[in-house]
Order: sequence, then structure tokens, then C-alpha cells
Amino acid sequence: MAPRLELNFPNPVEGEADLFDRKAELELIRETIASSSRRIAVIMGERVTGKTSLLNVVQAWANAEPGLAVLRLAPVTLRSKLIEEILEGMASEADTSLYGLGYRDKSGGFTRSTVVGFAAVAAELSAQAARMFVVCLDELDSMLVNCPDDQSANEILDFIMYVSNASLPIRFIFTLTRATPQIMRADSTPFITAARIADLTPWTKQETREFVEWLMSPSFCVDDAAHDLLFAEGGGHPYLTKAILQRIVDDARADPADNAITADRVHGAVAAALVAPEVHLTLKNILNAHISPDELHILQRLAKTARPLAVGEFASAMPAVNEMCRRHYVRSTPVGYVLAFRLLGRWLLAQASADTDDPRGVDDNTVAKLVIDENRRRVYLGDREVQLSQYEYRLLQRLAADPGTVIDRATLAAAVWPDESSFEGGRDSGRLSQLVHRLRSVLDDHERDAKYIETRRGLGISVVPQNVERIPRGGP
Amino acid sequence: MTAPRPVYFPDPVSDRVSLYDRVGSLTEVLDSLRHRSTVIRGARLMGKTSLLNIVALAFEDDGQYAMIRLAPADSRLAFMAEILDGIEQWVEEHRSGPTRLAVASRGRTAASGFRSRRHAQTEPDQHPLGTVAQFCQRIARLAELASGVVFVLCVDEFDSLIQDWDEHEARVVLELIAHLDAMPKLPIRFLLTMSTIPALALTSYRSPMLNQAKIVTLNPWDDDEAHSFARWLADGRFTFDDEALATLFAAAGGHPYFTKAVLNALLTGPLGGPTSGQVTAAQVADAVRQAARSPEVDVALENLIRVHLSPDAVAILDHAGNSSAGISGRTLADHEPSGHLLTSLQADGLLRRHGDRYLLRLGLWREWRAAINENRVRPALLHRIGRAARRVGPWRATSCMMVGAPLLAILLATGYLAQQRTVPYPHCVGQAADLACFVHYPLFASSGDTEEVDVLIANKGHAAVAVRAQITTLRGADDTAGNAQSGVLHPGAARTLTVHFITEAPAGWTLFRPSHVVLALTVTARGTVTRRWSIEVAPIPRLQLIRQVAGFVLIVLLIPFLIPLGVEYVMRRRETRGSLAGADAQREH
Repeated sequence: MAPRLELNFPNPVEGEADLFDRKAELELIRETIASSSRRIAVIMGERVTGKTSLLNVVQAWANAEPGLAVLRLAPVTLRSKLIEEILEGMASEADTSLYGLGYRDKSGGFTRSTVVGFAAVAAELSAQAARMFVVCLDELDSMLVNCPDDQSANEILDFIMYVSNASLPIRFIFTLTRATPQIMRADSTPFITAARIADLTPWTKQETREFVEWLMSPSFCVDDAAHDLLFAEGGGHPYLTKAILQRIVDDARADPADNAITADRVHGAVAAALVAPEVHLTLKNILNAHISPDELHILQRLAKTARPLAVGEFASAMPAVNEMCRRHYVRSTPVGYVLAFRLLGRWLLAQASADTDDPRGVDDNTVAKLVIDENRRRVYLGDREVQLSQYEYRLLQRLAADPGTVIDRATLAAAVWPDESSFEGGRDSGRLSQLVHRLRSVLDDHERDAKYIETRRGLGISVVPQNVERIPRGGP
Repeated sequence: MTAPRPVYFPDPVSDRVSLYDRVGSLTEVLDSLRHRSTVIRGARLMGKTSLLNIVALAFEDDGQYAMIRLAPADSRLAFMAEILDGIEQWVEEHRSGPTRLAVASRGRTAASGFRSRRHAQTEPDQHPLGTVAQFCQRIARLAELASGVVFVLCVDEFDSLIQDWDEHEARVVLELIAHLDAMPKLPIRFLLTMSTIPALALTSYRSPMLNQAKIVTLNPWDDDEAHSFARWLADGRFTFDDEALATLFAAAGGHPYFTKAVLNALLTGPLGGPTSGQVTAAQVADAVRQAARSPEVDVALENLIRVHLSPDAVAILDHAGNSSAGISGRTLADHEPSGHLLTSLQADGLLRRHGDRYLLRLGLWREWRAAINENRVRPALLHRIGRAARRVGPWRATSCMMVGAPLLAILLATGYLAQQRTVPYPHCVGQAADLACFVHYPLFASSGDTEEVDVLIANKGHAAVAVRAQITTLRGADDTAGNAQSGVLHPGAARTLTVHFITEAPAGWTLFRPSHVVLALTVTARGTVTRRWSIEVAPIPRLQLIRQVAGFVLIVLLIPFLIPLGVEYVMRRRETRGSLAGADAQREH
């Protein structure tokens, strides 16, 4: 039986042979370490975009270099612990230990935990090792977030700045998801401003195609439609693309002879990836820890809507939209914003549908927005277009023109039936009531529990402003 | 003739031939561990430990992997020490044991056996561990002694371990695992079993180890698989008809443990022994009843309830068990966010979905609940009250209410009756002076007692009056002379005249109905007697008396029960709201 194709999913890759197309970033890190500028190298990118993989490859390269020694540090939350971790690693590379050098007492306590003490011991150890130390720390931002207080985080950052400016043979490489407030709030100049940053972004369509070919050839043959679909679903994201491909590889165990990857097969793999526990837990963790409620709301709206959403449809949420674009979760197109990874949208919808069994889960967020697009004279309820008669449309248009304002029946009747000169009390009021009733039926709205149209007895009618959005003529 | 296959119940399977149909999962785990850490995830009693045992056996044969089962530890340092000790012990054993060494060196990269490098002769460092770097160095040294061997560190029920720690300790251990897992140079993999994913991992800012591990999920079997499993377990001892298999699946829901529990009951019941025969649905139903009453199943389900299921989840299962049509999300408005709960119970194989309704998948649950109710001895009233007080939780108010409420009730009832037995005497209004007269007499009396009757006389007129009250008629008592009371009442003043008499009443304590007490009231103004009244204290009408007694009973009996019930209801609502808020906060977070 032929060995299974190993995609390194979901674990990070460990060697350069398994790393696809991060050559520029890898070169940048190598240059930074090798240069005499003493700059800190930072690998930056969203969650599961391959930062740890790149760090592993850098580590493998540095290990192979004769003048370099790599220290891969565990996360710590205090400066003193960071000092100990670095020195212990350096001592090991120098074939000694802090005990052997007398820097630890019998109970294991470290006796030189000041920064100056660190510099002295580090100088001694580097002289002994006769090598430059590359200190790698994965997810520095999470380490700082987990610090007990801001002071501890600042101490760590100050220490890093001190070491990187001192004449010690130590270079730092960090991976970061984001420049967190702990990094930006540092009193002294944040090191990130002087660091060389290798930014990991999702691949373009062509790069994704090459990535897929590189991963799957020659075991599988991928057709064009499958490539297109893979890019649409995975958005060039290494993790999501691999998640889909892994399902195809898993399924191929049943029929190893079938090595053609078609769009249909990708569709099936997408459905399987959606319920894969690895994907589920990873996406859940990302949404829990790295996406704010506003940003989540944006993603959910985009997931629910099949069409691109224009700027005007986000109103005050634009800062969150921009942030999501910057972080590559949302893509800007000429006709509006769309989700960059359709798989993420599908997963969000699947989560929402699991929640619908909860009778109390129906909150404001679950009321589909009623959008009146006056440019195209169309009405959407969430992502579904609603067919209205011309009178219903006129009524809705008039109501939405003053959202939240109670408009009397005569004004509404004049807007709906402009050719009729007068509003004849009871008769026309009855016609208007019937029209409102029909409109409510179309929108699945109810007078008692109004989502869109509210009736104020004796006063008039209004729309519920938070659930109704109007795109005026000439708007975006 | 070979002996039939043993039914491992309730212990996990410990040999390959006794593991049924987890071939796919086993292959997945073995394949995955070659490249990455792996998590075996499944609901309680789904066979995680059995699979772990078989993986260990497979690795023992392989020789390229060293399976080290870690004991629970209470901190990161202790966890690191466990790992080090485990690896050291393995290395020591394989250094000294030539047989094992041969096995170990059979692996692909371990062909050369232990390498004699710089650290080969180094004894394990005896200094206490201070840093993760030290820890990694020691592991690296040990790994050099067993070159080519990958250490698979197994933690069974890792989620329980995490839950036992405080949040900080749990986080640093998770970070340590993620760190060790991401160290390319260390030949270490983790193999964890979990029944739930810890919330800490889901909300961790740092990429949790779970994001880079393969997750192999163990699900309950579907009906075909469960039928095959039952036949395989029976192993020729007996056969099942279709209806019997359906009954078995309806009871055990495809859970390996519960299927084996029923099978075990069949074996130890009347069908036990090597004789073969056709098992009918009725016999399976009997076995299900027997299994539900067995201590193993009882303990397993009790543990499930106490540790792994929320009260809302238990209520949902009970609800589903009592409704043959199943339940829907809308019928569960009083429970915790039911969408998630229903999905989670479905994933655990306790419910199954049919259209928009959820049905109980583990029918044994219903039987077990019925067994509990059968065996429940109705405790004494006081015991029940005490238990109710304990159940309503940390608020001691209920306990206080239990004691205080009866006293309060009696107090209220006394006041209520006191008011009732103050009988106004409306005719006592004089012409010369407006007098108001209220007669206040006791509720209970006993024969021969000396009682007091208070007569409140108020002068509403404009002139002072002298009043004198005397009991003139008292059947059965003749000492009325001393009962005369007199005094002067100024305008607007009131005075209570207390007159004594001896009761004539039936033997024992009884309600006092003073129909026979006659008061003579004399009002004197300016030395002249202006009015004389003979006041017969009116008896309380029978209807009024009944109403009074009913009111008394109502207050005395109901208040002690209504108040705690009310308190309990409020607490329940709070608890539900609290858990809702917690769940919402968690979801929002």
C-alpha cells in the first residue's frame, strides 16, 4: 500500500523542504540575523498562517550554521524567569550549567536575576560557547497578554530592548499575531518600530494554485474548476486550504486509484472539513480569542449575505470592517466587501444554525436586516430578495425615509396613492391597514411583536430603525 | 475448542483481539502520531482508554516509540517531573534489559541501539528543575541515550486533569505542552484523551496545542455497527433475533460500555454459560432492566450526572426519556441555552435527532431513572425538609425560613384570631354620653379556669361619666362579687375594665364561646345613674367560627411551606439566570 500523502496538517512544518513559498520572508529573517544591525526579527501574521512553521525552518537553518546556536524559549510571564530561561539555554550550549557556574544555590534559586547580572553571565557564557545565540520565542504577544500585569509586560519588553541594544551576541526572533496594546503601550519606544517584520499574508489565486500543485502532485491531479473552488473556499489561507485537501487525502484511502480532484470532490471535502474537529476547534478559538464582537458581527453579516455588502450598509461599523480587511478576513471588491474565506462563512452559518434550536437565541442579531435599495428599487430581507408590489414598496420607502418617526396615515396615503387628492378617513384608512397587513405578511412581521413595522394606535406607523436600512438613491 | 471471547466489562479492553471495530480510529492515531501529537476525543465510556491501551501495545511491538503513561500531577513542575521520571525510567529499563533493548532497536532509526555520545554516560541531573530550558535539555540528553525513539507521552482524561488545576496552573501546563510539541528537536509527542475540550483551550489567546494536534473522535456506533458488535461479543454463546437487536440498540444507543453492560447482564443472567440459544427481545429487555440496576451502570451514570452533565442536561434527558415523541428546542425554554446543550448531548450519543425533535438515544437512562425511583425510600418529613433546605444551596435563608416561618405563622394566626375575638358591642351607645364598648375574651378555655374578659369602654361624649361593670350572670360560678369594676371616664378617654370569672366548659381545653356571660354596665353621670345595660356577650356565629378556624389553619399550615417554596423558586430562577449569564458570557467571550 502506498504511503499516505503527508500534508503536515494541522501541525506546523519542521523543515525547509516542507515549507512552500515563504522564501522572501525566510531570506529577510536570515539577513536580519546575519547582519550587524542587531535588529529584532518579527514574523507577523494572523493565526494559523504559518508563523511557527517559518520559525521552525529558521531554527533548522540556524542550527545548521556553525556560528549560531538556537534557543527556543518557553513562554514565561516574568522578566526574571525569561532571564533564567535564556541563560540556562546558553549554559547548555556552552556545555555547562548555571549550577556548574555557581549561579544557582542548592535549592535551585538563581542568584543573578538583575539585567546587569544577566549581561555579565551572558557575556561569560557567550565567550565560552563562542557562538551567537538566536533566541526564538513563539507568540510573544500571547506571552505579554498573559503577564500578570502591565508592569511585568513592560519589564519584559524593556529587557528585550536592552539586550538587543547591548553588545551581547544575542539576536531575537519573535512571532506575533498582532501588535497588542501591551507592545504599543510600552513607555519606551516599542521594539516593533525598529524590528524587521516578515508579514505572512494569504496567498494570491496563482500562489494558491502553485501551493496546491506542490502539495498534491504527483499523487493527485487537480483540475481548473477545483483550483478555483479551493481558492474561493480557502482564500489562499494555508491552514484552510490544507484542511480541505486533508479531507481529500483521507477519502482517497478508500479508493486510492481515484486521483482526480474535481470541483465536486472539493465540494465534498469542504463539507467534511466543516465538521472536522481540528477546523472547528481552531476557528472557535480564533473567534473567541482574536475577534471582537463587532468584528464577529461583520463576519456573520457577510456570511449570511450572498452578495457583497457596500460601505453604506455598515454605517458605524466601518472601523471593524477596515480592521477585518487589514487582517485579511474580509476582502474589498469593486462592488463591496466579501468574506475572504468562504469556508469561514460556511462555518459561521453552521454555528448559527446550531444555535437556532435555542428559543432564546433569537436576539437583535438574529433579526434579518431589511434593506431598501432605492437605486435598484429592490428590497432584501437578510440575504434574500423580497418581492413587493408597487404600493407596498412605496409605503415601505416612505416609512424608511424617516426611520423611527411615527408618520400619520394621511401622509402615508398621500405617498402611496399620490394621484388621489384627499384622504377619506375611514375608507382610505382601511385600505392603508390592508396594505400594511400585506406588507407585514411578506416580511413575516407581526403587529404584537414588531420587527420592522410598528403601529401606534391613533398616531400612525413607523419602522424599527435598528432593523431597517435604507440605501438612498445616488448612495453607494 | 477455544474459549469464547471475554466480555471486558466494566474495565477497558487491554488486548487487541478484544477491541471491536475501532480499526479506523486506531490507524488514524498510529498514523498521526508519526507526525504530530494526537487527541482521542469521545464522550464518557466511549472506549478512549481501551484505544489508548491498544495504541500502547502497538507501539510496544513497533520499538520506534516509547509509550509513557503519565500520572496526574498537580502543577507544571510536578508535570515536568513526571515526564522526566517516565522517560528516565524507560531509558533505564531499556538500557539494562537486553530483550527490550532488542525490541527498541528494531525501529527504523534505532538500528544502532543507544548512541554513546557525550551525554551517554551522564547520570540524570539530580538538581531540582528551575526552567523549561533545563527540562528540555534533560529530555534531549535522555533522547540521545535512546536515539531514534520517539517518546509518546500519554495522559488519560487530560480534561479532568486541567479542570482540577487553578486557571493559571492549567494555562502554564497547556503552554508547556504546546511548547514541547512545537520543539522540532525534541522527540516527543503527546497522546491525550479528552471527553470535553477545556474552555481554557477554546479561549486561549495563545494557539492552544489542540490547534496543531490531530483529533480522533470516537462516536457511538450506529445501529448496524451496534448489531455487529453485539453478535461479535456474543461470540457464538447465543444469537439474537432482529427485534432483540433493535431492543438492545434502543437501550444502549450504540455505546460500547452500555452494550457490554446489557450483554454482561445476559451472560450472568439465566442465559449465562456456554449454552447457545436464541435471545428474544423480551430477554434483552429483562437484561436491560437488570443492567440498569447493576452497581457498575449505576456508578457510571451517577458519575456522569455528578461530574459531566449540568442539571439542565439531566433535566433534558429526563424530559426526553418521558416523552416518546421526543423534545424540541422550543419546549425547553426553562433550561440553559438549549441549542448548544442539545447539540452537545447529541454529540455525546445521549440524544438523537429526528427531524426537528430530539429523542433519547440511551434508553438505559430511562430504565436507570426508574430504578432509582423504585429504590427510593420516602424519607421522614423532617428529613425531607432538611434535605430540601440543603438542596436549595448556599443561601441559609431557607433553613432559617424553615424554622422561622412556623413561628411567624403562629404569630400571625394569633394576631388574626385576637382581632377576630374582639367583638364590638354596637348597642352600647348611651344617650347622655357616647360610649363604645368592646369585649375581648380568650379563645380557648378549660373547665374551672379563671378567665379574664376585657371590656374596653371609651367615652366619646362631652362630659365625664362614671362607669361600673359587673358580671351578673355566670352560670356555674358564684364568685361574681369580686368582679365588679368601676371608674370615671373623662371625655375622649378610654378604659379597660377587666372582669374575672370562672369558666364552665366541657372537660379539657376547648374553644371558648362565652354565650353565658352577662355583663351589667352602669353609667353614672354627675352622680346620677343615667343608663344600665345588661350586655350579653354575643357568641361568635358558627359560620364565622368556621371561617376563623379555617383562616388559622391556612396561616399555620401553609406559610411554613409556601415561604420556603417561594424562596426555592427564586433561587432556582437565579441559578438558571446565573448559568445562562455564565454561558452567554462564555459565548460572547
